[in-house]
Amino acid sequence: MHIDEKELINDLKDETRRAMAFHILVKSYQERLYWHIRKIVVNHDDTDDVLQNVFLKVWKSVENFRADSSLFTWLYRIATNEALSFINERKRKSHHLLDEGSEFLLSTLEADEYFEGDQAQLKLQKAILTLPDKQRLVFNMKYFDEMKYHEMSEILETSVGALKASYHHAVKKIEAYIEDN
Amino acid sequence: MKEKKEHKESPLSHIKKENPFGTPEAYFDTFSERLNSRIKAEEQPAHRLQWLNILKPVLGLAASFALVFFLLYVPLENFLPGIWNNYLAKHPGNTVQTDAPGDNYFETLMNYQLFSSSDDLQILSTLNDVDNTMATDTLTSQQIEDYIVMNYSDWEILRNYNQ
Repeated sequence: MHIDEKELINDLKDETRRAMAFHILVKSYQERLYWHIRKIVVNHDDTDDVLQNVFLKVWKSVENFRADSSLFTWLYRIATNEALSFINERKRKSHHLLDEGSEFLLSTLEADEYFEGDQAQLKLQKAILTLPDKQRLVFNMKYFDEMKYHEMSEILETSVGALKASYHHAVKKIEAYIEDN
Repeated sequence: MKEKKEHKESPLSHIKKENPFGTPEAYFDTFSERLNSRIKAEEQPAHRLQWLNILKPVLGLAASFALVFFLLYVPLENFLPGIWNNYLAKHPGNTVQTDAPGDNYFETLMNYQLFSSSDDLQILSTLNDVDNTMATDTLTSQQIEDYIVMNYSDWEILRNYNQ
């Protein structure tokens, strides 16, 4: 679905047209945001919760959206923050806060009833889950979503150089994990 | 050797580069509806919450008073009348006989307080006044009675009588 972002933003700020514009916004971004969140939180039900929270936040704060960044960047930023907050909260509750290896997410992956990949893909996902959260995020956005570094830089508010380095380290760690396991 | 290492194939190239995760059937078709329901649900309790926020301190205060009253009333009603009756049996000077046998503890307590505090002193001073203003040996019983009726209320007379 092609949308004119400026027009959509104007409609979202107009109380009389907000509901319709919001519906279009949800339909346009729900899938992309879902997959972005799913790669962070792994479980489908958790992803559903986080995605609803993201759109709820958007609904409540869209009036104050200042268009300093694009709508796409703003939405991805909210989704990223919500997803990371969610897993940090879960880790805190499961006493896994200091566990960089994300044992909690590994067990979630193994129990995921909607995982449709083969054994090699499962191994890759396990390798990805051994990465620190930020590195994992960078790897997923680059490797699977094929996002450009400058877009990632805006969303994650990190320099392009730091992102390239992060991706490079992530690839090396994943390759080592796959070879060793 | 170096060249061989550079051309080494990444193990990632053997893995299908596609999303291995799935969703329940028609998940994205129904998401918008579920989101709308949640937004409506979140907006409705907000009004209720506003009222609740206003009423919360009042209700809390009322509940506190009720609790304090309950905590005081029940032990007084159930335990202290027995203690008080024992006390009265040992100190008959402080007794006030009420006509109604079912008078509750509070009435008894009130009477006790009236007679045991500053009123005792008041009675003494009243008697002293009588001594000072009249020579009791020259007065008849009728004169004393008239004087008392004229100068004191029934309550004070009763109080003195019991004393």
